[in-house]
Amino acid sequence: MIRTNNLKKIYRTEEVETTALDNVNIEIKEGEFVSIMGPSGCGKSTLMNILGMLDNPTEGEYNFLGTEVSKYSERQRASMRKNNIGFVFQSFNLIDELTIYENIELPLLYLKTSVSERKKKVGAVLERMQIMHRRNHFPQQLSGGQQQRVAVARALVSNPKIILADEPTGNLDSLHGDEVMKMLTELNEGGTTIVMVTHSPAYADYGNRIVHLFDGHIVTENMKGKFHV
Amino acid sequence: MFINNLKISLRNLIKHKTFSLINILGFAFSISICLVIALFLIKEHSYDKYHANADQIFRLVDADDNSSSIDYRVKKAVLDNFPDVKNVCLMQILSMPLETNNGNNGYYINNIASVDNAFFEMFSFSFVSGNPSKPLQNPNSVVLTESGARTLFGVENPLGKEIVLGHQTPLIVTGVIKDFPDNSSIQANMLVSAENDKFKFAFSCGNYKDVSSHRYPFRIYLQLNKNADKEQLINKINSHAEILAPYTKRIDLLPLKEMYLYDNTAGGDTKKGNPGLLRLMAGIGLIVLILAIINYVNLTMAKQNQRNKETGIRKTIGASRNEMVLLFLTESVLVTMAAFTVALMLVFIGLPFFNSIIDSPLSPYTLIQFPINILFLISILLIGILSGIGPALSLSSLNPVRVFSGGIITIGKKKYFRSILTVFQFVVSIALIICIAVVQKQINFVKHRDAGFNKEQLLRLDLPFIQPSDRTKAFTVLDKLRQYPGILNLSVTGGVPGNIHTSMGSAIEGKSKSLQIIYVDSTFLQTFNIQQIKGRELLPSDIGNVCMLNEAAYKYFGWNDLDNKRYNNGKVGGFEVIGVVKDFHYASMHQPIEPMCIIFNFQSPTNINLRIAKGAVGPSMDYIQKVWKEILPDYPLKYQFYDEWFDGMYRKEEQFAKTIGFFALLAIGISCMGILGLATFSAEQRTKEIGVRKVSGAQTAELMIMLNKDFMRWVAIAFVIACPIAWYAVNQWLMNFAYRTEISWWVFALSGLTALVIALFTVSWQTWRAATRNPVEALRYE
Repeated sequence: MIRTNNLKKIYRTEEVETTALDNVNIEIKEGEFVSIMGPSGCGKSTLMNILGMLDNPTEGEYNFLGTEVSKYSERQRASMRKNNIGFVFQSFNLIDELTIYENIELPLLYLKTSVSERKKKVGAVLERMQIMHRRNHFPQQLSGGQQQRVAVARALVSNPKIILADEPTGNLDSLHGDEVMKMLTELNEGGTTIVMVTHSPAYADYGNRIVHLFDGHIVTENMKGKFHV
Repeated sequence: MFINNLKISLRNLIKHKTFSLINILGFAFSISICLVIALFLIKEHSYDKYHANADQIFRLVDADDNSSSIDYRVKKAVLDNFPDVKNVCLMQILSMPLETNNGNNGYYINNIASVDNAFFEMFSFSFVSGNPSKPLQNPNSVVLTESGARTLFGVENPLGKEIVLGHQTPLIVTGVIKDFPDNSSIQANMLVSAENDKFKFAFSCGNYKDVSSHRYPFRIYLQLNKNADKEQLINKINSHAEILAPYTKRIDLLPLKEMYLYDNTAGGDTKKGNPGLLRLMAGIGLIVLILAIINYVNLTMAKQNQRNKETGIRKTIGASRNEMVLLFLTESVLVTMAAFTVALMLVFIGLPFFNSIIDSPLSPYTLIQFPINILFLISILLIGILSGIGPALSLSSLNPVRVFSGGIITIGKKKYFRSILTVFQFVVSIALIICIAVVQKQINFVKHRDAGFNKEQLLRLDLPFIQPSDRTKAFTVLDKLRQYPGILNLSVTGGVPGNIHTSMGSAIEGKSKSLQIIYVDSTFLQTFNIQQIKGRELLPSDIGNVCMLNEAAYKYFGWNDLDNKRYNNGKVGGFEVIGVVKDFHYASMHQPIEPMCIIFNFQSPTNINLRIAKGAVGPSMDYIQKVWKEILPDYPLKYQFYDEWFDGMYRKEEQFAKTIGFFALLAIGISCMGILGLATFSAEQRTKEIGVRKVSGAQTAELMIMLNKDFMRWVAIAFVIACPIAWYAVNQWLMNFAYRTEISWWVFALSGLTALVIALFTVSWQTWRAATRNPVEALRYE
């Protein structure tokens, strides 16, 4: 599903050049649950941004669903993104001015889904996430765990092939964190590919593979089975 | 998607209530100015277009003299010889009011038009009563407007009744028409027949004894056939110059529809507009609109950070740039709609004030009439798009990665442009504040400067032309007025300070000079409190033989004494100069005091001047009216106090001051919006710096000084630029006056200080908010 080849990302300012990713080669297969770990500033988020097509690499190749996308324009990336990728962020990133229903509905609007279809899909996902009773509330009226639930629902609603979760438990207490991880696991078991960045070894362990990044390089890749012999 | 955009736009506006209010009100304020200017322009361009034949009517112009005064006989020559001309009419308006009597009641009627029947055929009128076809049935017919009829007859039906013009010409009312609309360049209250020789108001001749040289100029209007070509007709007429000879040679045609704005011919007696003013107003409107849009853009961009997260989320989820642009445009159109609605309310509330400034009543209902209302809606959409497109393009270009990583998103390069714009706005504001201060100072100066005679409690009565048979009655009135204890002094004069209509040349000791002349009686100096500074007292036997000069005349002739000095004009042998009076202002202070002569000779009186005792104005006025009505009931009574009259001479300046004040207020309002936008923007941009400074121990006051310093610098720069511009402008304006106030330094200092205080007041709210913010909150992004 995802294959990168010598992926490099360099940030340049007038005087400073920072290499965020250096020759990163990673392959993620359909149905996998990959956890990415590493210290702050190691390039986890940069890698996620490139995998999520929010950014282009400086060098290297990025093959997504059999298509080379590293040189895609913004418009092409937006199109690829909305059709295939769901995002879950540490800080939930819900739009404060929209209700829970409207936040979840948003990806479908950009996919030009019909009104009846939207109703059906949003209704289903609200049920599945058990937040139907909160549909007319605004994000600030919900707890952190509930907000992340909404964020997951929004990522799910368009039925993406992959969900990229950037520290989805970072802003949550352990109870709500566990809940989110359970949800992601269930999704993965249902066939959705998941790539998750986390600082927590325990949550990383929910994945079936853990990728360790350090100073922009992949240092180790542990298969779950091998890790827990 | 549109509904979603609308919903989120509305929720955003409600969420940031204060910001939305400032933005909408600021925008509305500017738009309301544009709407008023638009109303003014619409009105000024609507003149004379309401006539059904407006497209076919032209005024004949003598192309050689560029004059609209052409002898009435040209009408027949044109009608007889040029079949392209369907109809021709004559019109001439008497420039001064004429006494008109209805029975024993006399009134002054303004704007008496001398016209023929064709005038009613060519122009569109609504007849209230009378026969619209040939209403001027004979030379002694008269048509009144509703106002004219009301003045003369009150609620009575005037049709068939008699009125008398100037105590000499009886006329029968044959029709009443609705008043000329305000957007008619022809304005009249009474229409008399041009067939009557008495109503050929003007006359000119080369030689009085040679009747063939006599000319009776009228304004001649032509109605062309619908398919006739104006240029061809001009060529045709000019190629047969002999037809219109000897009255005119080459002619031109001025379209009726252009008459109000583009008539630069001599002799036009119609209302004239000022195309230069219209261009200026249109320019102001456009600048105001541009500034309003730029201010909106500034404010929106200043609040950009609040929208970054939303933009990032939407783009991550898959919104294309076009979709984002559409979202922000929806919001700007919504703001524009709200601003237009508020502006419309402001127009309804503020229009009476504006009407009083421009002296031309505008109706706000014009804006909701077709097709203006359609243009109005298109404007909302266009202005909404124009004001929203910049921020929309900028906001939609944000990279979500940078938004989520908390990177500072700047649009700093445009900061200097915005600073220049703010400086420009303040230059205009400060310059206008200086102008209004100087104009007001000058008005106070001319109103309160010693006029050389005492204007307080001094009343002027206008004397109509008294029939010889009524002269005894007039003397009785004078006697009765003299006897009334509330009247301290009374003087009968021919011409008065403020309205001298005689000047005569004089050759004295080799110096020739035309002097202003007032004919006065023996009580003139006493009544007006004019000081005699040289010469002897007036004796009863002097009346008819002597005169006095003012200081200016005395100086002009270079005399050292009055021994054997005579003013050689007015009668054989002239008048003995017996004294010199202190210079007094016999006209407004626009004019310098020129040499003048006061002749003590009771002839051709035009005014009775009365000094009324303090506290006796009410009873004295009642008494004057009672006596006049009893003794001279046929003659209209017209009076005015000198102080009000002279103050009225500066009405144009007062209107000018009001207009400047209006625009100064507008400029200040717009500048405040601009500076508020910049303050908001600056506070957002410096959030981190403020946080760090606070953590390092900076006090709120220190931070406020730091943040306000920039704005103070801009005001200071604007002040330096505005001062010479304003100085030049007011100096030019003061040239209109012979007597000027000095342009004091403190006017400039005060204006600068006013702008500074307003600017400080505007930005301090924002800077205070920024300076008192919790530093933890400010540094959260780090």
